[in-house]
Amino acid sequence: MLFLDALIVLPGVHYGGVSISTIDHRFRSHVFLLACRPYDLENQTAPNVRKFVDLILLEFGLKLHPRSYVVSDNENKMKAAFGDVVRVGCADHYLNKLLQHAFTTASSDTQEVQGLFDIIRGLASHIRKSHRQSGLTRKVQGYSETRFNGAFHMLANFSELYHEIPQVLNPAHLVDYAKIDDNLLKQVCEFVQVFDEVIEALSDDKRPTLHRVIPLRQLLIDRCTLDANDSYGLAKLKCFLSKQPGSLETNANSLVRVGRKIEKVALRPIVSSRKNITELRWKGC
Amino acid sequence: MKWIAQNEHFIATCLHPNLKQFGGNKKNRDKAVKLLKAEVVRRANVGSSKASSTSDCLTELAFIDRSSSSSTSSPIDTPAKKNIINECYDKPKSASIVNDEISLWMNFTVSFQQSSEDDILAFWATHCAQFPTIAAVAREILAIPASNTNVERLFSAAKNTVSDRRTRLGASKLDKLLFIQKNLAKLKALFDEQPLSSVRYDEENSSKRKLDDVDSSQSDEKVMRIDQQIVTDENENLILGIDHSLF
Repeated sequence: MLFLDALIVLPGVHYGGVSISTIDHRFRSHVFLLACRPYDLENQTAPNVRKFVDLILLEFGLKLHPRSYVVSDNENKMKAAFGDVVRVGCADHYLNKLLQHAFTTASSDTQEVQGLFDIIRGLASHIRKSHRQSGLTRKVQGYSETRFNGAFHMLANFSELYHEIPQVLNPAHLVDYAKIDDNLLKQVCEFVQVFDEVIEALSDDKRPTLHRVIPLRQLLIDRCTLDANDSYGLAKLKCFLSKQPGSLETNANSLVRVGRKIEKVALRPIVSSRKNITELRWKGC
Repeated sequence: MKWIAQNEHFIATCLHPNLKQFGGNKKNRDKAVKLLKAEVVRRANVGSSKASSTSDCLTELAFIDRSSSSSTSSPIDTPAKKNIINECYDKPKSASIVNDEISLWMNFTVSFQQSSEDDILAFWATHCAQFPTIAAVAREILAIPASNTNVERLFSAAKNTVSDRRTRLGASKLDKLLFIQKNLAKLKALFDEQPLSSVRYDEENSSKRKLDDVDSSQSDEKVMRIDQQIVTDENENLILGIDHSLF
């Protein structure tokens, strides 16, 4: 079982990392790092990525087999590089990309949430450069693309400081601040928090996590069910994330769809504690 | 980019005592059972043709025999003998036995400990005798993580290592530092479990060495060299093959 990834650590220098995991006969999990070294091949095409990994494995007397399992991110070059082995996609990468598209891609049809996100990102960026931020009870977090669910962390942090923010803004930014829908912000934070918990649950490197993917994926799909109290922006966000058929017309129609959906629901996974999403069981079992 | 559940996800979910029914979703459950059955049958067929009974998941990674002193015999030398020996081996488990084990598993109910740990490995350690073939599948499939955040954390550790005070840290040294940082504790714990006879001691270097005393060329060799002697006793543990002289 191999995991591998590539990331820029220093400007202009790409690094690649390879780890290996196994479970012994006593059912103890072992994870070992094989390498974290610069990617020094001429380009990042699939054959070269594969060559990079093969060279690392060769140093340890290993090579990939058609039944070898490889976990990597879901870029096309990685899929092509490991097409001849059993490649398993990284679940956190999928979730992160999904949320990134929801908050930043214009074609996602989530304009309300994106508008909110853009305003808060601009304000957070400004506040982080200002000396007046020392007057806040905690530091403002900016948006980081490389951090999984980075949008949630920024929005949640801003929501907590919402009432303190005006004291550190200048008049020009107060106009933007006034455009923020506090109710939408709270609803979005509460909704996206469950994605953060799922990402945490799937990131556990001390215990097996593969069995959690399908139940937690279903949990997220179920959380995207429309609710009568949802604001318009949140409802559109839910529709985008769950890819529900049809489009939102009125709140009344959305209520009808919610009612029908509840009738069709037989069994759903439930979480016994919001704080610990690993306590997962199927309702009825 | 669509998040599609793969076969391994279905099999892994089916291996959990509280999730194997898929919450009543018959389609997913049937698919998972079918995939699990295929895995179990594949193992039963592979097991009858192998020379040893090892079921370590890393045997799927082919080991390159570089050592002339390797104790394993090359299969290329005696193909005729292997065929004769194969005839003596137990026949693969019949389909009915496989179906019985899977039916027993799907009907098996147990009050799996509802704790924050979700320790599925402890469950299978306890029940591996009851469902031996499915336990072997569990050992292989559950080793697959859902995400590669382990390597992402590695990059984070690399950034912390290359700090403002250590800007001239070379890539090779960074690789070795991270190797030791991430692997030292686990390998030491594993070696502490080994009986004295199975560990080779370097008498000259048995005393603890300081970092300054290590010659860089020796450290290169020691970090990269992995012993090819894989123990195939009841331990079936690849870790035994790692050269202890790393420490």
